[in-house]
Amino acid sequence: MSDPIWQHREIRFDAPFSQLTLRKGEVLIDSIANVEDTKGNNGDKGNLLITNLRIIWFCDDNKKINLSVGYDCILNSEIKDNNSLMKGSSQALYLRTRFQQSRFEFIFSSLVRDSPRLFSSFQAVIRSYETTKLYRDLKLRGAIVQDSELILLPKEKVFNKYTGVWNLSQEQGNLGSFYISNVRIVWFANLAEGFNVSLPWTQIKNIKVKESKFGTALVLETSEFSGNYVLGFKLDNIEEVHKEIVALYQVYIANPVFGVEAALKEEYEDIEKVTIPKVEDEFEEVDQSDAGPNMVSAQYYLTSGADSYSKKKKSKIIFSEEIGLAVEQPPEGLTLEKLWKIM
Amino acid sequence: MSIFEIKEWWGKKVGEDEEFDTNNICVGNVNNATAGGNKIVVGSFQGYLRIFEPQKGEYKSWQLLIEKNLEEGILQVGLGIYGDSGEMLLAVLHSRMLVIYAVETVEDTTQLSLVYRHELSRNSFNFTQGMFGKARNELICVQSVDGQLTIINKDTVQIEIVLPDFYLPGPLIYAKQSDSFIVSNTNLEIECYRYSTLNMQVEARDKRTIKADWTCNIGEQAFHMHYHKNKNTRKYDIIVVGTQTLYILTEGAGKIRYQRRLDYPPSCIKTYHLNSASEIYRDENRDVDQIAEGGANSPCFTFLLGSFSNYILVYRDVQLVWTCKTSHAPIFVDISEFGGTEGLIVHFADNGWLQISYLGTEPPKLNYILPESKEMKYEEMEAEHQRLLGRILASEQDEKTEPDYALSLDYELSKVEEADEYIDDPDNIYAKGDSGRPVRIKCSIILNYDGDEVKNLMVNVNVPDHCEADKTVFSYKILNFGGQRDFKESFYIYARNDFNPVSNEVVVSASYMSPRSTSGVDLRTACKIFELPMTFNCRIIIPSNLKDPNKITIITDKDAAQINSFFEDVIEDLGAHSICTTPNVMSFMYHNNTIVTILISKNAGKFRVQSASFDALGYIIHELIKRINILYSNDVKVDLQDSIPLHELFTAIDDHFELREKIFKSKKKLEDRSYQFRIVEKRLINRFKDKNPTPLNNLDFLLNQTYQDMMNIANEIIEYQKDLKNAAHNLSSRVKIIQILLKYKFDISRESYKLLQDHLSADIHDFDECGWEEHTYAAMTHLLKTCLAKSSKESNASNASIKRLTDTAKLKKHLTIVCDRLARGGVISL
Repeated sequence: MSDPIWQHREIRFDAPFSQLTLRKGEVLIDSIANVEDTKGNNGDKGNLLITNLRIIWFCDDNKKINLSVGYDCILNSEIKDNNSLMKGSSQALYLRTRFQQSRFEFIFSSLVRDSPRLFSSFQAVIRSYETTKLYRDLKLRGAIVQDSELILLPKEKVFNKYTGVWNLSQEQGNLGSFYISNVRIVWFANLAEGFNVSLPWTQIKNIKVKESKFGTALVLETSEFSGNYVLGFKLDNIEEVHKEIVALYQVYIANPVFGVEAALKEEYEDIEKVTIPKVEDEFEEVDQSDAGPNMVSAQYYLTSGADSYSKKKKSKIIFSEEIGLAVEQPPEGLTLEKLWKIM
Repeated sequence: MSIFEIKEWWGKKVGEDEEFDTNNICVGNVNNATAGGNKIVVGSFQGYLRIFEPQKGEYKSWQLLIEKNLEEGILQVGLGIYGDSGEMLLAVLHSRMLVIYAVETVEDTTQLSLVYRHELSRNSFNFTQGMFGKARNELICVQSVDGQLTIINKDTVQIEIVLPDFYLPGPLIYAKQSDSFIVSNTNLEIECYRYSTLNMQVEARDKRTIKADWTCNIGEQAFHMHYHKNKNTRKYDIIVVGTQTLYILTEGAGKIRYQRRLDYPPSCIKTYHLNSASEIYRDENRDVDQIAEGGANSPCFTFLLGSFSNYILVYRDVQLVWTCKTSHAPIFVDISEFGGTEGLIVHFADNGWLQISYLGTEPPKLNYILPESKEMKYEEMEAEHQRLLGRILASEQDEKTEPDYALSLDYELSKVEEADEYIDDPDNIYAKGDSGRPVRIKCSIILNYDGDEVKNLMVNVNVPDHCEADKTVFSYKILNFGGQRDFKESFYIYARNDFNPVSNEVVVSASYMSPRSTSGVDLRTACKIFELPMTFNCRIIIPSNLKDPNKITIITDKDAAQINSFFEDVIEDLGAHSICTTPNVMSFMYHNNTIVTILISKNAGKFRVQSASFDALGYIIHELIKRINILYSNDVKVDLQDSIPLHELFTAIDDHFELREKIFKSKKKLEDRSYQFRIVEKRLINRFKDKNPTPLNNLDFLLNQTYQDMMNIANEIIEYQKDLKNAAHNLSSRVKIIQILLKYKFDISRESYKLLQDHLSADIHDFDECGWEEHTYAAMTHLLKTCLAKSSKESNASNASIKRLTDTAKLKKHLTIVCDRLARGGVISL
């Protein structure tokens, strides 16, 4: 289920410092000092970085204590009152997130009095993130075509458009149009615009030319995250197009356009001032691989799914005659009624 | 409320920044797939129609069968057999259009094809469907926002009829058994219209308003209505959800047969039946068979209720049997089968979170956090501990360090002048100079600060009773001293013509926040006290009457001197050389025309201060002694021989106290009257509310009279308060004289004098319960029990609380004793 670009898809706890540095295409949108991670590290001051892909928080005293929360994991966010050791009762940003069947809650309080910046920056960015999924996710059968023309995304530039391209996914093949832009590759059927695919560069795993029963075909494989699809296209001067796509792929997989835009009112110097210079860290890089989350720290933020997280226990779903609904199989020897009465 | 978890079977946030309502979703086999399988159709207010085919696990992009921008807001979607083909069709309601689509999936591609399309003449709100009038296919009835029902059968509009007295649209359902439409109206009622009645009226072109078959008042705005076939009672129920209540109405007569008040705001409902027989709640008072047969006084079905407090609650008949918390408030809840799993809960939030869930049965666990799990190093902890200990020690030992910068106050006084512009003086209280203009003095406060800026600076000016300042408060949010280091504020003090001067001190106090050099701010204060010049308070006049009744003699150990030598500056300022020709007499006149005269003995350093008014003496004595001390450079012994004028003090106390008593009594009376007023008012209101009012019996007269009384008493109190201020001033001036007399007569040291001033204060502050008399009585008692105690037996300082005095006899007695003890050499000390 992994996406080669994990930054916005995953939550990482106490990650090696190398993973906190911004990847290509990732942009620092705001950086706020004096933010407390009220849930897991109540009482410790830290820095909160808001990028176009994730929130990074690290403790001032010990940068090994850090969090990286990808926006894709955020279910909802809220601004609520809470109690911080550093500031007492104050307003805080609550994030409810889901990652690998577990739910985590994060609470960040800005320790600067009456500073709504933490909230305003984040809300602008998450809103932008949520409305720009087409830049990052594979979409099939979307409403992306209007009057036989591709609806362009903001800042999207079409490099080439090929007509008369056959999609070979169905038995008889479908004739349609093929677009290559700085964000994605799009194909849609001429006769049924609803039959289409929008494939961002970041979701492409492999590009090759292959023989098929329809003859030589351009084959695009999607990432595991997008379901390992194999898309076949038949078109004229296939070699040239293949070359073009491979060249563009190399550019955009390295430096993708993520589509998240957030204009902040603060002047740029201000951000510069509080930005922590990305010095190569003083810590040894213990683990360069994309290691899973640090479970010990994760416990602090867990709100549910603890068991499934650690034991990967598959719960069985049964139909309960007692209340006429699907329920998780109750523990041995217990009925729903008994369970309910215990509570 | 418990909290079991709800487990996600499938979930997807639908749309990007789009909005949805209860009617914008439906579940069913919309594309008539032969394999069956439920799909979820969602239409957004932004006009996007999407169809999902969920499968267990995370959302995958192929699970979106179709996404189409219909380019007009979608108000409702519905599934039904609207045509002849017997196939399931999709109805989409836009504000001015109802479109029926057929949804087809061929291989991977799903397409919408238009079947019927109706332009609507009015803005629509919602629709309901059913086989109205026993039709073979399903018809659609659209309700417009202004109350028109449009019944559409396939490609024709069958009926268009406007409901009477319609203001706001609400939920609409079709009741199959009685073949009627049920709507909610703005009178908080549920109304039922028979299809046949509507049909006949339209066919007969009857212009009369249509009549409801029945109406039922539920007393709440209805938000959701459902039609439910009850398997247990074998009847049909109309389920209505209001703001706080669930109602079940019978279909035939529209009677409420069950209602349940909910302690949360409900957001959606789904009713269903269990296969098991134990659905109806039983106990000894309930005979299940009887309930099912006839007088069903309970729901007799199972239902899910969603709440805006993010819960889904499961009720079996009357019993709450399960509760779980959702991450978003559900506005739609349904039970459906997906991927072979029966009984899955589909719930949908207005922000687009669409989830299919099942109920978790694992009891909730607390996440215990083991402290060891955090990486901690002993050295670090030790270092922190030491650091904290150090900080605690430091804060215990250290005196509060003064901030680096402090604000200082200074003042400048101009010459006494007469106002050169018009000064509004409606009550004629300002003392006028020769030109008829008010006498005033310009006073400048100089703020000096060596730091950069102070915050929340507030300067208060307090002037004595006999004058008034045109501005007494100066406040600044931030005052920046950068560079100039001082800052000046000016105001005028005007003399009043109705009081003797008593105290002559102007008190200027400032409070401000001073930034610390490290971080944070300190709240600091600064204060400056200065005296107004004598020329401001009085003028010199030609002495005329040398036989005033009130006199006090000041004796010094120096030789006789000329009076002018004491008041050179005043004479200079007033230009009064021509008046001051007699070497041993000088008369001053205050602005209230009271004259005080000073006579000097020709032979010895004796001074006599005399005036027609005893109260007027204090100020001149104060000035004179001050000037004697200055002239002889403090090397002089001043003595006052007169007896302490306790009698005068006591009269003032009595006057003052009497007025306080009067005010106190009047306030009690006012309280009485206002109580009476409220009671009469209440009775009157009750009478007017009564269906059969009894005669007023002069209550109105009583109300009027009470009101008059209240007004009179209030005016009386205002008058007393004015008098009290005068009395307080007189008292203050007499206390001042007594203070001076005590000091010089008994040769009280400077420190003791300060204490005396604190105990026998010339500052009179009056409150109902605790005024000057109470304070002074308590202070005198304290003195007598402590430093002026006769024996150690007497000296036990008890902290009795200060109580309201009923008369002044005891106070007078104690004052006399204090004076006695001072005369015998008692010393006031702490």
